[in-house]
Amino acid sequence: MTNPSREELLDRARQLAPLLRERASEAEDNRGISRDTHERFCEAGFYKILQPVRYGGFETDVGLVVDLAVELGRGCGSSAWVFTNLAMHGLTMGMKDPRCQEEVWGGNQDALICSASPAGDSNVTIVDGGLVVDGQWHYSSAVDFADYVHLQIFLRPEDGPPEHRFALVAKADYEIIDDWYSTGMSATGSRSIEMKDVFVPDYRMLSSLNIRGGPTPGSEVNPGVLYKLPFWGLGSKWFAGPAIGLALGALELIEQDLESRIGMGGAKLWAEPTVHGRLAESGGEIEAAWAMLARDCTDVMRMTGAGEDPTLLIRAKWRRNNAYAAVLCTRAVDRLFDLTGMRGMQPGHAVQRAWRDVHAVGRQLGIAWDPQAVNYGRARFDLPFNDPRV
Amino acid sequence: MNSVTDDIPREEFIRRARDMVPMLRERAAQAEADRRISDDTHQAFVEAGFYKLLQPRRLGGFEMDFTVVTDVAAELGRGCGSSCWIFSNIVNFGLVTGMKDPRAQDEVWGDNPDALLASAQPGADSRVTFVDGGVVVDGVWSFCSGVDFADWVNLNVYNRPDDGPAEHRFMQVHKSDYEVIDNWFVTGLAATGSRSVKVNELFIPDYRGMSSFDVKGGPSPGSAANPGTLYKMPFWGIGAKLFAGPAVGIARGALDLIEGDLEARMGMSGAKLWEEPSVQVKLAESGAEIESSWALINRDCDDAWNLTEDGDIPTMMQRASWRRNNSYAVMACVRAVDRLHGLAGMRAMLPDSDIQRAWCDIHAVASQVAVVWDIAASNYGRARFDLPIMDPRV
Repeated sequence: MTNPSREELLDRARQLAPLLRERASEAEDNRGISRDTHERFCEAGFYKILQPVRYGGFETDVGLVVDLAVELGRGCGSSAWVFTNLAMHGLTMGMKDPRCQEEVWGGNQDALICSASPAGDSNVTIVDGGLVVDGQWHYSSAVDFADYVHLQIFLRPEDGPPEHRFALVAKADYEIIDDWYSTGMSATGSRSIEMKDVFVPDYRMLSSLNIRGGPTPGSEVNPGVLYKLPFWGLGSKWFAGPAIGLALGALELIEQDLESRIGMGGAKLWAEPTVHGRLAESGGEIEAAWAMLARDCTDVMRMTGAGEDPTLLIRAKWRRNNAYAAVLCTRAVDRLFDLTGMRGMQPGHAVQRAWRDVHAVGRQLGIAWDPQAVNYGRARFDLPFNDPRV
Repeated sequence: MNSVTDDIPREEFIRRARDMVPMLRERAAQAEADRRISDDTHQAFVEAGFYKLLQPRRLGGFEMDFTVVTDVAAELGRGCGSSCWIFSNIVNFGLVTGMKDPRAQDEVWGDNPDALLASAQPGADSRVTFVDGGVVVDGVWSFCSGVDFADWVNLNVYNRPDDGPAEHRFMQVHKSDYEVIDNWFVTGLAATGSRSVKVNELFIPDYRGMSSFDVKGGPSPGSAANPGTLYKMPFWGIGAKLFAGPAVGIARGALDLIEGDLEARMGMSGAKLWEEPSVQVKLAESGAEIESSWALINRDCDDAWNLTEDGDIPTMMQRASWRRNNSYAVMACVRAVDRLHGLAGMRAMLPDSDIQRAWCDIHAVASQVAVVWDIAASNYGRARFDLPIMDPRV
């Protein structure tokens, strides 16, 4: 069986969008997307796009994550978010020590990995040959569908550069805590997990120090370009894609909605120049965001393919652009949401959902504007740099 | 001098442009004082082959694509907005002329493959009479960027009949038929020498014109003689890119200047200004605005090119979206420069400040009627909802 083409995958996403939109309200009530939606993503092959060919993956390119997230996000932001989070860990896994890859995919090529961020009471102890983790990790998007979780670990030694690691734990090692109640991206099921003194050996970890462009622990067994990408530096494109999709979806909904609406003067709202100004500016913002992300994805694939290591300044710029794309999409949706009138405040309104969701995207730490803007400035002027995820 | 036999890659043109940036910046103040760019700068553009990027191969040009024009402008503009503007305006008429009736092309380039064309906008006292086989023009046409170096000027002519759709034409006039009026005194893009031209009861035959009706994508009057994709592009739908490229270049230049300037500056507390997060955020936002604008323009250029190559005709909605994006890119660059200009303090209000010049220049770019945001936004909205569009240049 040959792998589906890029166009075929995009087509599948486009066909799913109306269904996702239909299900979005119920998914919000359930605080998670349905297992049926997840299974459709499995059948469509979405989660395999960055998984190594060696384990049955498609090994495509990072730009496709953005484009698929855009199509899915037009229907439902949470669904797109689940897709991107699970798909991206095909990439991080492919960069890891081959022993870890074999543990995850050796017996089950469909195994999925999500991630979680440290909470206030998470404890990490460095021991011989690995780490011991204890306590809670939060925001584990798609944890219901995952076989493993990548715990995010931040190490800030006094005598060396800060380091970030993805540490793999199997679902037998953690308990899921049903604590996901959020106003935005509420259907991502991003619950917490809790562990009790779990040992994670070094080979199950992926260090930020090893994935800044060029060979990674996994790139010898997976020689494709993907597994040599500067993982953090390429910018967390998997968070920006859903923002573009959400914003495009909101624009479509508003344009449809306008066809039936009349202003105070009795004239059709869609004939108002002020309305045209809002639609045009939001449309321009969304397309600019998308074009920039696509260009950065092309650049990072090309540079890595040519064996060029991106400088800190370039990586900081890619991250900045990524965060800026989310800023643009948020502005675009804010401007459109104003057009919905009081009806847009009613429960279940799809544009309102997009508005809540896009604001939630912008709060993800990997894409939040302020830290990325400052990182760029610090890289530009050679100031000390303390964020390991660039 | 390059000839058609030279096979020059796009990167080489961009490199040539990049190499000129320091020289253009050095000359910018004098050019402003002269209200025109120097003959030397113009000659450097000629020798680099810049003006021939969109000229048909058949007639001595390089027949490249739009993105190379944008990318060259994005370099030249870093040094001097006015110089970049001259390049962008003149190069564009390689394309316009290549789309025209072959008789008009031969008149321009038959004996002289180096002939250049500019264009001019109707002034208040310009008169056009539509007669059998052509138009009669009389009066003053303004804003003729590049007239100092042009052999021909394309007069912008609008026809808005009561009983049919509006039409725009580029009607070319030879320099022996007009008089240049030295009336270019402006605050932004001051060195473009965009003077007016005056014509007296001049008949222009139809074949010297390019009608907006004939360049909406697909075959144009010139595409049989010039079969390349370029001459089947939806000219107005995609074409105002030539004004957006300079905006990107000027904004990039302003960012370079500010970043250089910051190295020497201290805040009130004595700390380096570049350590201030508020400064870093401004640089980051302007930088991202500029890059997103550039990426958007080039993506649209590629899309239009691919669509044309496949023989598809873009819809009105598609064309209006491209124009909207183009104006959006310019607006984003204006915002970027406004934000950066604010960082430069009172010094950037002084007449010899390069940042001041970039700030004035980019506002002048945004005033070009083809990229004015309100018009493009309104055209987009009207196209989206099938309302009548009266602007022939979409």
